[in-house]
Amino acid sequence: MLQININLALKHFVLDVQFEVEQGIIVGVFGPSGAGKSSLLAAISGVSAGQSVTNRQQNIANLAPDKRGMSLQLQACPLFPHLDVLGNLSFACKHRPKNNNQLALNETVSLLGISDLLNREVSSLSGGEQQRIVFARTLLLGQNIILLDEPFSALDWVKKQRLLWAIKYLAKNKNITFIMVSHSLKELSYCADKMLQLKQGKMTRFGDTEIISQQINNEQGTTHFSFLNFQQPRRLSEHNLTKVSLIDSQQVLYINQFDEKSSYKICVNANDISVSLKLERNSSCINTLQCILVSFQRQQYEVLLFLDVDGQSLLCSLNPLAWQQLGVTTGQTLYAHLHAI
Amino acid sequence: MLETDFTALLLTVKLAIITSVLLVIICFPIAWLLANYKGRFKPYFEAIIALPLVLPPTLLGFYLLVAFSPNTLLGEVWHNLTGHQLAFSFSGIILGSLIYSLPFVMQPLLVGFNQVNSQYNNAAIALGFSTSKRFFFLLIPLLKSTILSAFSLGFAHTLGEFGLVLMIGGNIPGETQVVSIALYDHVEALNYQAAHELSLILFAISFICLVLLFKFNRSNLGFRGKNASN
Repeated sequence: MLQININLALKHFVLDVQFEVEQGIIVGVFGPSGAGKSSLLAAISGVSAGQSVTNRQQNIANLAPDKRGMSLQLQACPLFPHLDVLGNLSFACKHRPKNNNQLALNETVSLLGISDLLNREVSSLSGGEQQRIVFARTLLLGQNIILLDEPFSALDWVKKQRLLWAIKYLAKNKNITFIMVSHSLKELSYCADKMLQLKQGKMTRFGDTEIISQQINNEQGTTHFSFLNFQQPRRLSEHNLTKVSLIDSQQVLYINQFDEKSSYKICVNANDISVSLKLERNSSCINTLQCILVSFQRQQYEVLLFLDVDGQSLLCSLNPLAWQQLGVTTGQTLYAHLHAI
Repeated sequence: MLETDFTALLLTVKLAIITSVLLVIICFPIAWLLANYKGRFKPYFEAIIALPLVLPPTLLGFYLLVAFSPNTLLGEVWHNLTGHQLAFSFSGIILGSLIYSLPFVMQPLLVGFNQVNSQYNNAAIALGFSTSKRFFFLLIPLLKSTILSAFSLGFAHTLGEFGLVLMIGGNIPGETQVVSIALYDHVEALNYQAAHELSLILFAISFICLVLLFKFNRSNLGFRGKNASN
């Protein structure tokens, strides 16, 4: 159990955050630029002045960063230029503390899919490649609490998914606690168990990711999204697609890009869905799911539909005019057409 | 080339090597401490280190000469330990050179530490590497070329030393007569041929030193790969 109780005067506001997490939990920290996200991580790790941080009932507030049993990967965390990629990873293995989780080099390399980068020089890596190696190096330090500050900002969504999946895997199987700062709600919703929202240094929300991310979306009027869990991916190479079945359902989806080593979970943007009352046979849309309208929310420029697809929830955003034209009520069966997945 | 010139040249190179090696050893930890020190006395420390840059060598020489006298604590301790006096000895001009060339070795090291601190050291602190691991396995390898350029700058600067050595060392062949003083002697004696020869040699050595210095500086920090060979 990690207990955080921070009250720290910063230049423009007071950072005031209290929360606690069990070991092996992923906490996502969300907030606008300058909300104090990085300062929060610095205070927890001990890089900035001592604050009340308790790990397993032991007060670690007065310990130096290297004695706290945690690693903070700063937003600008460079690779060491006098070593190559493998050298950087071996450096972490060689100089890590004794009482760590002994995560092996081979295991980490295959988990993150970076074996093809090992013999490269640091200067020849792209921004995204560097971030993957930096993350691997942080993992190899073997601490049981890892703090990450915007670790995957230079990666595209497909590559990001694999690393987010790795975080989930490590939290579950190696019991590592992660506290991850990001300004991407989608990224945090994908992997975090708990979410913390910061505004001007104040913790405005803390709780289960699903609830908090929904609230933030409503508040900010940003694009809503939802996740669908699936199983049994089968590659259809002649069509360059992967066919998957939804969990506890007979319905199938065809996915464009799929990495074997990522969660069996797909993110669908609410405005990438259109709905109809009847199943259209002659349509170019290959992904159509039968669902039930559970509820809806009228907002200023959109109507948000909460759909149930064989037990999983799906969010769809419609223009008020389209909603009027559709003329449906809750409990009715609809067909959701998923574009761009 | 005259035999006395050759002796002076050897003495100068010996003086420059000893001075710059000692300075790198002394300055490296001090530069590290100073780069990490954020207190209000920082400008004072920096000013003390930079003073030899602006003070006339004769001023430094005068006070060193006073300090070397057997009546002072330094002079007395040295005399009791070695049986010799510091003034007009090779050890004396080494001590003088250490002070005279200090800023030339310290400045590149300070710049190097500041650069490494902001880019790499802070990231390594956050990741949880201990102080000793960072110092020995990260800072020293990263600052390899900075150390080499600090050394060559100290070396090249000591080669050209004149006023300070003349004041505290005098002009004793084989003991304190360095190349610049030998050159001065030739000009005084109107022996222009010997002065030209010695100048040429001094010119060549200094030029090579500076070429090496700029070459090290080009491969900033201990970068591997493409950047290093550029």
